[in-house]
Amino acid sequence: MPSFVHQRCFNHAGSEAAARCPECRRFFCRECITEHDDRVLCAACLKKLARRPLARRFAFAQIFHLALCAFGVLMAWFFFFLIGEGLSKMPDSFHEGTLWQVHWIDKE
Amino acid sequence: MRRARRQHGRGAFDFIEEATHLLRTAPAATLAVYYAGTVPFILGLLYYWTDMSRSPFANQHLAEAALGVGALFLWMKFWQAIFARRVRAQIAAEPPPRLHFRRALNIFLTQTIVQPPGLFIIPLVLVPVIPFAWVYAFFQNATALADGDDSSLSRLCKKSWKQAVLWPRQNNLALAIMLAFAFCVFLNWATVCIMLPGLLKMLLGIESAFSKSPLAMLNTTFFAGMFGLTYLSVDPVLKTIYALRCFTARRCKRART
Repeated sequence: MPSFVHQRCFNHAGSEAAARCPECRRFFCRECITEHDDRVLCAACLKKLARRPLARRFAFAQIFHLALCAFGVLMAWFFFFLIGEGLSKMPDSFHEGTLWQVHWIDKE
Repeated sequence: MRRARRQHGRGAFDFIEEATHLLRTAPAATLAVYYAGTVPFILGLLYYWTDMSRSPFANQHLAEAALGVGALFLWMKFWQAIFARRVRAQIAAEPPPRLHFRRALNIFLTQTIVQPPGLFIIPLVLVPVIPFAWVYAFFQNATALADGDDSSLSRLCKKSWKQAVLWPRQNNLALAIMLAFAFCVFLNWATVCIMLPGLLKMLLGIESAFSKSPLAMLNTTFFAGMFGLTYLSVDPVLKTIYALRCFTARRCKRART
């Protein structure tokens, strides 16, 4: 097992290693490591870890947005469908404006 | 005085006046952007209306036709958002913003999600009348604030609602004035269109069924057409009013912070 004393930082050849990243198994100096969830990680691995759930969240958001878009199109379609159906069911006399010209007085 | 102004905003008349002035001085391209989206929708809707009210075979293609009008509605909302974006740039005295594909797609998708519920919600809130101004303002703000950046949809909705509840007196008054104005515009268009066959006969000698009986024009398609023309005349002013309101509210917020 290599000891820290003989190891150099992966990024800075002039600096002594202070920790070993448990993800990539490389040695790093104090400047290149950080603590995350009780683990000491290098910047690159931390970035990868942070990106993974974001990417997953982004993919989920995209799917969710597309579903909402489809719902929006469906809603617009349904609205105009209802209007069209209502129009086609109305009597011709209503569309022609003759509905109000019924001479009910004459009928009496 | 200043506090009261902050609470109630500027006068509704000031806003309408400024919006009208903005529209008058807007470049032709800005209005072209608006009409590129709205005219196809109005024409499509009129065709759909006539088809559904006259054709005996309307039921056979009802679903496809409704989908077509729905698509035209989304097309209109997209272009209206682009129009509002250009108006906002004009208010800020900036050059018209360039439209990239990704941004345009974002705007289109956002409008596709936000606007269709308005088709149901706006007529529904007309029944109890009171919340109408807020709900209407929300959908108008969602058009005015759509920027196509990568900020989330919920953020746009939150911002739109925040602006909608701002300065309620000004909002209600502006809407009431614009409603009265729209009614006058509707009457103007209806009068012109009813008189047109008579004028054509008088000046050019063109005889038609409508010149013989002007009352024959009073069918539902005629009224739908007049509503369409009124919408084309009044809606750009309304969109500009809400773009202006959003811009002013942002400016006030920045000034306070």
